[in-house]
Amino acid sequence: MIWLASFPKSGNTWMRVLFSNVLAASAEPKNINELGLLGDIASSREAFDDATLVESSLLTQREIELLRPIVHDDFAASPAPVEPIVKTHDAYDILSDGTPLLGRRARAGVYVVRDPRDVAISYAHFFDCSIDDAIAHLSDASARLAVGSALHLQTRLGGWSGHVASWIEQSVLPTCVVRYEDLLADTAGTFRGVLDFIGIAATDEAVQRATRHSDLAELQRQERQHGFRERPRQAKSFFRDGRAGQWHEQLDERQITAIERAHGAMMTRLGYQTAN
Amino acid sequence: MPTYRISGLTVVSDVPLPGVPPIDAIADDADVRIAFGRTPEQLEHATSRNVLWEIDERRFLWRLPEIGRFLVTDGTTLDVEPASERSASEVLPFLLGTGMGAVLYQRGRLPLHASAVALDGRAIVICAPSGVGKSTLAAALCGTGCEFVCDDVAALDLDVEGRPIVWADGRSLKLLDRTIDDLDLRDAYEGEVRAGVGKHYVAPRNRATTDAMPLHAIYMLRDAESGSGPSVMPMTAIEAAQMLLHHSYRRRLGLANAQWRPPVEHTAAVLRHARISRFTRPRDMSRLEESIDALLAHARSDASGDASFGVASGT
Repeated sequence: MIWLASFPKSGNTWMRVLFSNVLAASAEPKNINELGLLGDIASSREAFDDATLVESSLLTQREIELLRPIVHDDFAASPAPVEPIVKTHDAYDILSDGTPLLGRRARAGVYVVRDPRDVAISYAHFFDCSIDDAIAHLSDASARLAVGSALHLQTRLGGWSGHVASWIEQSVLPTCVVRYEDLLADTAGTFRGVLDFIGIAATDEAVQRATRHSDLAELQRQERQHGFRERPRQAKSFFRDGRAGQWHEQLDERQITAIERAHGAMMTRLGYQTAN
Repeated sequence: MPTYRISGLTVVSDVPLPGVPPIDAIADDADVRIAFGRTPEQLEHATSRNVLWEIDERRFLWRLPEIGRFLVTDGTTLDVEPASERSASEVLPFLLGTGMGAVLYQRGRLPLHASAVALDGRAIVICAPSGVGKSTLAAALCGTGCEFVCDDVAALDLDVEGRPIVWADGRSLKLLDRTIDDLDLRDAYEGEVRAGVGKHYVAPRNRATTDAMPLHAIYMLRDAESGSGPSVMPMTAIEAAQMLLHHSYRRRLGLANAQWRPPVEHTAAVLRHARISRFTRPRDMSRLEESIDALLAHARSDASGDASFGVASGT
């Protein structure tokens, strides 16, 4: 099993579409609503309840966290026709007994990271909040997704810097770190690097075709035609812009300074240039 | 000992059960006994096993870390061993849920993860995963004159003529705070299901007075796209059979149990006699009345009963 991880709005879905298309190796692009990657998302209540035989809405957060490694390892160990590639927005957390929240059975991870200045813009559109609120959430070490959600378990984010640090500094799961901007600049080449890291064989032709089948214009076309099941009600569209560097146009000086002040060290570490 | 009627079974318990009104009955005649005491750490000859549970021909053993261990035997006894520092009340919701589900499977019934109401003496079952809103819909239907049959577990069985019936659950609704207020049910509040998880027992309006009723229809509940109204679409036989399997209560337990008690007759009877449809509705509470009207109109559209309006033809 492979974990496909990221902070929200950092390119996780695009990476999943790429995987789906390269594994399918079909003449037509995969339907974005039927990507066929086993496992869906780590925070799925339905999957959790199914595996544990318990209704997660009756459990405390601590009880859920005790069970999550068991659930994930059970899934990883289950017979499957193809290797699951499972999305997660969880920070890479270790429980008090040393067990990773995401379990131990996954063999590798892919962590997609994106400039937090662009993440804030995308976050604001997706969650229908102001950019200032998005920036505050990115900087909130106690931030969680899906609080009070009927369909998803709570997901600890830990703020953007905390989230990134948790994944790139852990030494439990071999993880390939991919910058969204590199994937944008050279999709086939960057994705080839990811496939090589994980050990998935694919010809150059297959990678090129998957790249074409996963480009933003195709994803937007599909969403216009038949919708995308992961678009929340409050967002006008899921596949919205996708460009790198939108922050130059859409953030003011105050907002840029706020992000760089909170996350400058990690941004520099990842190769993002900051003004400060 | 307190005695209860749950899904057509008389149940006696060492301790009072929350969310279930007690009945006057002789404890010696009980179908199921709930007792607190020691349970084995594992089954010697389990035929299905994973980290949290195991099963053999007669028994189901289930453990929840820091909560407790549950053993269900022959559909007649339910033994519970709470983890240290845990009170009986903290483990009861799991005993009443998965524990009773195991009892139903061991007794050859087909429990669905569903709520149900009775319309004109016949059961309408609403299937959906947790969180999609089946309890809310059932509670709202009871406010329009339907009788409450069950919330969360719809125990299907066959009557003496082999027709599908649904046993009344006997238990209260489990609702979120905001749903209780949205449906104006605060006066029916009975208490927390478990401390700190935000779900509460609520006495249903119009509790069904009969123990079991014929199954009329099953609706698989789904959210509509933003802006869309409610709609009902019949399912094909294949889709309906898959849906019944998918929405079995604690599905993996059902699958494991099916090796000894395959629900073939129940499934066939349901497909033959009940209307099975997808019910897609807007999640917006302001459109709840519209959704209820659509569902009731469809449910009433064949007052004659079964057969010709069963599942859609074709595969």
